[in-house]
Formats: sequence, structure tokens, C-alpha cells
Amino acid sequence: MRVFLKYCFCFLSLGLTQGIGDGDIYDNSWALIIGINDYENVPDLHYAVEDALAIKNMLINEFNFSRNNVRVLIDKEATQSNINKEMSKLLKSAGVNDRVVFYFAGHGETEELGLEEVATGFLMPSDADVENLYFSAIPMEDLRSVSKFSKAKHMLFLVDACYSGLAAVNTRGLSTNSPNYIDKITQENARQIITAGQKDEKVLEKDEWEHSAFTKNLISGLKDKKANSNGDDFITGSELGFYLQEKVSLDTENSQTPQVKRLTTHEGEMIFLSKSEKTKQKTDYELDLKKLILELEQLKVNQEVVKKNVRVIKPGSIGLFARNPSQEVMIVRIFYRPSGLAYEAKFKLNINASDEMSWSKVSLIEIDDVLEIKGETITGIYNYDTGTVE
Amino acid sequence: MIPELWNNTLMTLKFLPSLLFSALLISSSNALDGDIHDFFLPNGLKVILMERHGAPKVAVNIAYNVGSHDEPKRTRGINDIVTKAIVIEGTQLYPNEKLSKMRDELGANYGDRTTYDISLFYTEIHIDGLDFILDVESDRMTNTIINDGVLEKMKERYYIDWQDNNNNNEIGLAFNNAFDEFMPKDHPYRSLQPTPDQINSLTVQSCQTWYESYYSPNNAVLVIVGDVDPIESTKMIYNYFGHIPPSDDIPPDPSLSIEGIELTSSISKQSANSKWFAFPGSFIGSFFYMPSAREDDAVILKHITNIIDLSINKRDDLFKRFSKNRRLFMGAEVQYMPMLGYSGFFLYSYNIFRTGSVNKINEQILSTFKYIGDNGIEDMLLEQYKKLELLEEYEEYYAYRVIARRLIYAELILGDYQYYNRELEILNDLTNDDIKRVVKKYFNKDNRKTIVISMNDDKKHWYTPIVSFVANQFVLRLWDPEK
Repeated sequence: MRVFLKYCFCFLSLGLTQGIGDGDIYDNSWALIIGINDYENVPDLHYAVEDALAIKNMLINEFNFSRNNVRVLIDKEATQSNINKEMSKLLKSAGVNDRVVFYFAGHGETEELGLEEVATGFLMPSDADVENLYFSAIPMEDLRSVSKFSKAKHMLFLVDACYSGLAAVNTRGLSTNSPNYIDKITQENARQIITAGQKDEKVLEKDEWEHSAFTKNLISGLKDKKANSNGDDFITGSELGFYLQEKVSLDTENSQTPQVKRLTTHEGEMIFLSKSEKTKQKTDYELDLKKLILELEQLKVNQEVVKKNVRVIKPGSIGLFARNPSQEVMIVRIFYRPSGLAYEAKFKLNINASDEMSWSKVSLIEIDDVLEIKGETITGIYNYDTGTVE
Repeated sequence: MIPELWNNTLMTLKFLPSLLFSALLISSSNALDGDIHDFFLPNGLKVILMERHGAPKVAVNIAYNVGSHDEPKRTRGINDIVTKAIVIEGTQLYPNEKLSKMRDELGANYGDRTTYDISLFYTEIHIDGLDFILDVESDRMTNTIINDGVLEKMKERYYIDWQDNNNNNEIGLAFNNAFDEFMPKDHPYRSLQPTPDQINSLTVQSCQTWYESYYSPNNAVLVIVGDVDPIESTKMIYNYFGHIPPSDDIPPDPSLSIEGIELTSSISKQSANSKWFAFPGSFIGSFFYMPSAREDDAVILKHITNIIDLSINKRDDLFKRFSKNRRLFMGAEVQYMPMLGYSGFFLYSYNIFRTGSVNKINEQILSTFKYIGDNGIEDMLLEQYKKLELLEEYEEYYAYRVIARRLIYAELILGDYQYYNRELEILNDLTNDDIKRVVKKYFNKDNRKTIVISMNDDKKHWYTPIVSFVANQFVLRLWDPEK
């Protein structure tokens, strides 16, 4: 009962802290998140999917985006047709007092088109064809069109893509010293775009970051509130842009410079409410519970994401332990967890017992830590829907 | 069942809303006594939860799959030192003094145990203390203090214990040495007790590396038995252990097999001067190598050991046959050591005033086992033993710590916690045919090592053989000091 009361308190207090949030500025928050590692016709990327999922989680967990209003397209789902459909839905759904975040992590391409050979940027869907960009990719100009047709008060396009050059309006935002600055930027419309780099620059991903330079800093800027340069309770789109310009340039040793632009002449600002320090002081139980929820949420996200087939060793079959290849491993089950699949497996023991009794207790082993034995190991494809190996 | 919840994605998603909105309302009264839930945390920690709602208490046992058998020769004793640091020094949050005080105030029953194969930390406490104990064990898994000062303190403590053993308990030391002799040379079970020199050579770095490699979630099993709500407990476990990173360099188990190792049949002799016995005497022991605790035969052998023990205590016909009606020895003790690599059966006889005849005793022990192999155990003795064991089982029903220990043992030694009741299951079906088969198979000359421990040899006098003869042949046959 004591623990139960603590959790009740936790839910109550979470509710209280959310009451002073973004609801004062926006009626609803919408997002379309796209991450593509797996391309049909161009080289694959490594962290675009992880980047997209991290952004999704951040928006939902840190900035009160409703789960139902955040649409994620990953890998093969992110075809040109699907992206267009989802953008269209966004146009219809977002109301006049709403905000919209569009995030894209994947390849970008630039081509000089038309009689005047104007450089046009494209976002590459998973089924894009480099030889036929105009009809298979998403022209960056479409973003501008979407921003014009939408009724939403504030729109922010975050484009973590290579060669993402786009002719944008170089409108300056309002000075923070303007009278009633907060009121103005929250009431004025805004159509802002931040791209990972200029055209001809390449987006940098690093294993140690497990993200691209752009998204790594995007997360630290928003989630860790580092982009909040003036220390108030808000992070504006411009603050975020300037933060990214500085940090991404530093991280990439100036090989990549994010561009911060406006797609229209509106002077408002996308607002991310930075929760005050007081509201951040949660009880241990709140934090623990939140961690648990995040973990469960990640499970759900992973289930949505993992559409591709994964080759695994079938339960009952034997492999070798990669860290000590003289040691046999018997697979018992496939273990589904937030960070990916693992094996529940037993190690072969050298003890004074019959062969069938000489297996260790069941341990959790990384999939990559078990090697197949040619001609002996039986493999199959893991079915994420049923949890079985076929 | 919770295991499926965490291994099956669909079920996990079902778990989400229930966790957030309704799981808190699930009453433990819906749960059934004896229900077991098991699951892995994503960091590899194996969790086994057993519901027992008869008493408002809980046993929390955490065991690591590391024992002295994992110690390389150059770092003998390192696991003992690390577990001492965990228990005696503790962490910054829970230094030992504070922790002991807190546990005592809560009326906790707690302790630790290291063996050749595993290292175990256990606590039994009122159910309200579950939160606290999980916090303690989680903290000890990550934040145990091992620095120069702590290591010196542990070495000093070890040295004092070692001196105590050497100076005050020579018989105990002789038995330890005897056990060591039973372990084949170069086998990982050999040398349970390292010398002070070996302990002195341990460094902070090596102890820290040992701690970080082995005392990690993916090398541990957490067993909780008691009046728990599985959902609440699961949340607590995630809170306290979910963040701990797994170790990625747990060394593989060494070979524990005795196959191919020469088990010498020569007699090993030890001598000891005892302050307790002012007269000479001897212990003559026969050690038989048995299969790994994994095998059902090992369980049958354990029951046979217990039956022989019962017989020795009753001084019944079986004991009389072993001792040739006490003409060969006046008393005996029997032990069984189930271990992962192999098990050991140890019967040692004792006499006062005389050393006894090793060859005759050995011969008689073998001939008694041959008799058991041919004829089995007396039915009445077998039935009596079964009844006593069942009675003990009923007595242990609310001893959650015992059940938790059995679960841990089954998981780590037997390979699956579901075997936790195997001893009882095998006992229920145990027949004299099983006993005959196993005795014939394992009790033979080639499988035996003999040890002789002579007490107070220097106290022999010219009249000692006469006193011995009179005492053993006449007095002790009529008067039994153990009766």
C-alpha cells in the first residue's frame, strides 16, 4: 500500500507539472518523423532510424506531443508515396493554434534542373531513384508548399540530410529585446527550417555518438535544454538553429554548417517549453517510473520499426561463442528487448556429467556473440509479430 | 506470467497499459501460493520470483556465477577477498556498520556464502523491507568500495582467520588439507584455502577487475520468495537493477571434469595435535568421486549418504556392518558434497587411543557397499528416512530463505531453477533398485582416495596399545559415548 500511494502521488504530481506546459501556447502538437537507413537504390545509412526514433521519443516524453499525433515512417515505410500521404494528413489535421514538427533523417540529393539549371534539393525516400529524382524523390520546394498550405501556427522543418540546399527566405526573426517579445513570437505564425548542412556538404555520423552530428546536437539542444541560450523557460526555433550551427560546426570541424532559415516572411517562433528546474525535481519514484515507461515505449517503437527480417539461430541449435570460439553455445529462445534481439542460451560445460546434462544455466547473449557452425547450425528468420523463428 | 510478458512483444505491449493504469490495483490475494515467474532484464539479470503468501515476509537471494573454481592459480583467494569487501566493507551508501544496524532493526536474517562454484548473498525480512534490500543489493553490485585501504583490511582479516585455524584448530586444518588432497592436482577445485602469501600478492587492480567482471547483472541470479506482488516487485527490480550495465568480459568456466585425471589411490597422511583431545587417536576417511550434481545419480547418492548417516546415528545394523560391529572403528561421520564439476562422498571413521587398521577399514567399507549393492537398504530404514525428509520439508514451508536458496542452487548448479524440488521428487520415487544400481556403479576401489589423520601421535605411551585394545574391544562395544 505504501508503494501504491507513492505511485499515486507520482501520477498526481506529473499531472500538476504538465498543467503549465505547452497547452498555453498550442492546442495540439503534430509531428511527422522520417528515418531511413535502408535504401533500395542508394547506399544505406547507419543511424538515421535511431535518430528518428530518438526524436520521436524526445517530442513525446519531453515536449508533450501526443503519441497519436506523432507519425513515424521508417525505412521501407518511408516511400515517396507514403511521405506525401502523411504530409497531406498533417495539412488536414493541424489547426490554427497548433504546431507541426517535420523531421527527416536520410539521404538528400541536389540536381540542377530546368533551362536555367537551378540547383534543386531533394529528400530521398527509401524508394528514390537517383536517375529520376524529380519523380521519385521529395523536392525541398514541397516543404515550402506544405508550409504555405498548412493552417498551423508554427511549423519547424528539421532536415538531417546530405546536400540539402534549399532556397529559403532570409528573414530575420524578432529581436529578443522587442517589447512583448514572448507574446509576439507565440502569436505570430512561423515557418522555420533548419538543415544539417549546405549543399555539397556531407552529413557526418559517428559510432561513438550513435547519431549524426546534427541529431546528436538537436537532442542535446532540446532535451538537455542546452539551446536555451537566454536562460528563460523557452527554446525558440531560432535559438535551436543557432545552437546547432555552433555545435555541429564544432563537432564536424567545420565540414558541416547547419542552415537556419524561414520559408515565409512570418516572424513567429516555434516554441519548445523548457521545464523549470523546480518542476524537474521529481521524486525518485517519478524518475524510476518514467524510466520504466520509456523502456516500455522503446519496446513499442522497436516493434513498429523492425519490419526487416533478422536471421537468427533456431532454438535448439548449436553455435560457437564469438568471444571464445572453442566454447559451444546452445540457443534456448530468442529474447526480445529494447536494444534489439538477444539469445537466451546455454554454454557447454566440461563437467563430470553426461553430454545432455553438461549445459550451463540459461544466460542472455548478444546475437552477434554467437557464431554459426557451417553445416551444423540451423538458422531461421525471426518473426517479430509472433516471436517465433521460421 | 511475467516471463512471457517480457519475452513476447505482443504481450509486452499488453503489459504497458496495465502497468500504467491498472496493474497497481492488482491484489496479491489473487496470486497463488507457489506461482513462479521468471524473466531476464535487458542487461542479462535473471530474475526468479516465487509467491508464498503464508507469512508477511520475503527472502531476497542474489547469487553470482563465480566461485573459487574460477580463480586462476596466481590469484587464489581473490573471490574470497572480493566477497569480504562486499560484505564487510560495503558501499558508500550502505557501509557495513550502517547496513547491519538497519537490517538488525528490521529483524532481518542475512548472510553470505561462497563455495567452489557460486557466491551467494541472502536476506530474509519483513515484506516492507523488500524495497530496501533490493536497493542494497543493487548498490553492492555496482558501488562496492575496493581501494588500497580496504584491500589491506581484508588481507589482515584473512591472515587473522588463517592464523586462528592454524594455531587453534589443527584437526580442522588437517581436514581442510585432506579435502584439498581429494581434489585432483591442478583441478580448479584444488586449494580452497589460499596461503597468506597468495593473498598478499593480490592487488587492488586485480580485485576491481574481478569484481567488475563477475559481479555484474549478466552473471547473477536474483531470487525473491515470499509475500510479493509480482508486478510491484518487477517494477522495483527494474528500478534498482535495470540501469546497471552488463559486463562484456566474463571469463568462461574452466574445465571441471575429472575425466582423464589420475585419481591416485595412494593413502594420504596428515597429523594433528589437538588441544581438545589429550589422547591419541585417528580419523580414517574414504573419499569416493561421484558424478556432477547435475546427474540424477548424484541426488540418489545424496539420499544414500543421508540414509547411512541416519544409520550411523542409530547405531543400527548397517553401521555395525561398516564398523564390523565396532571392532574396526568406534564411530563415523558421513558427508556428501554435491558440486558442479563432480561430487564427493566422504565417510570417515574415528577411534581413540589407536590409529586403526587402514586396510581393514577400507576393505570393510567396500564390502559393506557391495552388500548394499546386492541387497539394498533395509526397507524400514528407507521408509523412516523418507518420512523424516518429508517432515523437514513441511517445516521448511515457511522458511522462504531455504526455498530461495534451493531455487538459486537449482538455477546455477543444476542448470534450471525448475529442478529446485528435484531432491524431493527423486526421494518420492526412490526404490531399493535405484540404490543398488547406484551403489554398484560408484562405490569401488578405483574411485576412492583414502586419508589418515593421526591425532596427538607424540602422546603415545608404552601402555597405549593395551588401553586401546581394551577400550575398543570391550568398553566401547558396551558403552557408546554418542548414545
